[in-house]
Formats: sequence, C-alpha cells, structure tokens
Amino acid sequence: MLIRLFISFIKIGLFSFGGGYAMIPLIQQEIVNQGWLTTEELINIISIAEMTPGPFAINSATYIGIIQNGILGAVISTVAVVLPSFAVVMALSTIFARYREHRLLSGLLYGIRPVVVALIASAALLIAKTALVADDVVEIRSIIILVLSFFAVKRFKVHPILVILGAALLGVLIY
Amino acid sequence: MKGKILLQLFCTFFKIGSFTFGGGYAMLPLIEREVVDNRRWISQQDIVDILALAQTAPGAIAVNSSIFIGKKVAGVWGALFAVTGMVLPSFIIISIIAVYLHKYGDNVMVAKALKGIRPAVVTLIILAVLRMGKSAVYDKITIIIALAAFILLIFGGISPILVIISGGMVGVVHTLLWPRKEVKNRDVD
Repeated sequence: MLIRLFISFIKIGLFSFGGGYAMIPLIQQEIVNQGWLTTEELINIISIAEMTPGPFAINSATYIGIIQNGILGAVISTVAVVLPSFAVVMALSTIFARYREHRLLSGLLYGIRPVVVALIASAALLIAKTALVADDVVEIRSIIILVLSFFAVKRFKVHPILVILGAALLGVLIY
Repeated sequence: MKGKILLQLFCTFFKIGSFTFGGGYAMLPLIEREVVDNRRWISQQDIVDILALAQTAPGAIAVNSSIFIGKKVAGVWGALFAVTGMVLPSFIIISIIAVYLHKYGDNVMVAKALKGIRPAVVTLIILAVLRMGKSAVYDKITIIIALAAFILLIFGGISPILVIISGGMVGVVHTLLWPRKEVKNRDVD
C-alpha cells in the first residue's frame, strides 16, 4: 500500500505542471480510479486546500496519505509528491544560466501551457458532474450557488475563502 | 554558521508556508519580501529568474521556489531545510483536518455544508481556466493544442501524462520548424 501511494504521488508530482488544479485529472486517474477516494472526497480536499495555507499538491498528498495509511502514509505521499520537484530543480539550478533562454525549453512550455488549460477545463467538467447533478437530474439549488459564487468572485472580487464559507452556509440553509 | 543559516531558511519558509492561502501565485510577493528585503539572501534580479524557473519545473511553484532559494543560499542541505519548512505547515494542518473530516463527514450539517461548497469549487476552477487561458492560449497553434488536449482528455480516455508529453512535443517541433518566429514566453498566471 505504502509503495503504491509512493509511486502514484511520484507520478503526480512529476507531471503537475502549472501547479494546482491541473493535477486534478491525474489525481482522478491515479487515486479515484484505484478506489482510494470518491470524487466527493476529492472535491472536499479541493475546498480544504483553498481554505488552508500551502499548495494544493501538498494538501492533497497529505490528506489522501493519512486517510489511506495514517501518519506514515501522509509522510510517504507528501515526500513522494515533492521528490520530483526536488530532483528537477536541483538539476535545473546547476544548468540554470545556460538553459533559461533556450528555445527548446520555451518551445516545450509553449506546447505544455495550453494542455494545462485543457487539464483544468476537464477538471471543471469532472467536478461539475459530481457537484451539480444528483440522481441524473441537474440540481437547481446547486446552479444557484454556482452562479452566485461566480459573480461574487468575478464582479465583486470576494476572496475565495469567503466564497467557500458563504457557499457552506447556503448549503446548510437550502439543502 | 552553516547551522544558523539552515535554521533561518527553515523558519523563513515555515512562515511563508503558513500564510500562502490558495497556493501558488498569491505567495510570490511574500517570498520576495522575506528573501530579498528582509534576509537579503537573493538580489532582486536573481529572484525574478528564480521565480520564472520555478514555474517551468513540475510541481507547486511555492515548493519549487523554496528549493531553488535554499540551494542558492546553502547548497543541497539549504534546499532540504527550506522545502521542509515550506511543506510542514500544510502537513500539520491537513493531517488534523483530515482526521476530523473523516470522523464527522457523515454528520448531516457537515454533509450539507460540503454539498453547498461543491458548486463554489466548480466556480473557482472555471475562473482558473479563464485566467490561465489568457496567458497560455493566444494564437492558432495554442488554441489547437488546447482544444485537441481537451477532447482527448474528455472523450479519448487518454492518460493526462501522455497528453502533457504530446503537447510538449508539438511545442518543440513547432519551435524547430519556425525557429525565427519569436515564441512568447509569457508567465502563466
């Protein structure tokens, strides 16, 4: 179990370009499809990650690790998700000056960045399916929360932490 | 002397790690203030390079930056102490929350609150798509890559890892075929 956690989070750490939400599809594949976590729990982690300090990658690794295998699982998963960064950054910082402006590197990023956008978009779709649909019917109340929170952030610049707290309160009141 | 620097690296990044809500870009100004202004470990010029490079390596930007800065200040041990300081606050907080949420997640009130939060999370992710789309998808090629990747991910059932690698390869081939064309290297936001 610990070894499988370790390998999954090494993969997630190695391919989480652009940080944060772009890794959701990979977590879905590695963690949810293995039956270690439901999509509902994955969304819980995302909300908690938004409300607590620290990067999403670390938060999710720690959370999944501790649920699967206690404190030891949390340590193993967190170390695994950081390890690829550590190795790549160590290598990059040694050859830093030479490659920063290298056109192959910028070409690589030119191609990867649109994929990161697609990854996040597919994450939105995946999460929306679980968040908005109950028993094959779209929940109107959930749509209302979606629209309200969108305007709160986009138009009125409300901080995401407050939006999540507000949505939680609304949830308690209307469901 | 070395021990003191290592301890300072750990404490500085523990502080940064404790206050980086929402992760990522929100904490770049905080890193700059601590590392450049307060500690004077890194010059203003170098920090720009470091932060740019931290965004090109895989993994969380906050974590990558701490590793870069730690390495620059005190070598491999510096990197180790910095990244441990950066990660530890999340680790402690999440461990506590995970245990409680797992225990009380079935509580009716908690379940309703979590159900209310879910659509708001969808909103936050949609906003991230819009924000990143602006800086990453801006010409014909990047639009095609983004659309193709989206379709492959949704309908193709293809591993995200393969899609990332393919996108990178298309980018490299594009740069090799049109080497003179200036590739914009804008920062992802």
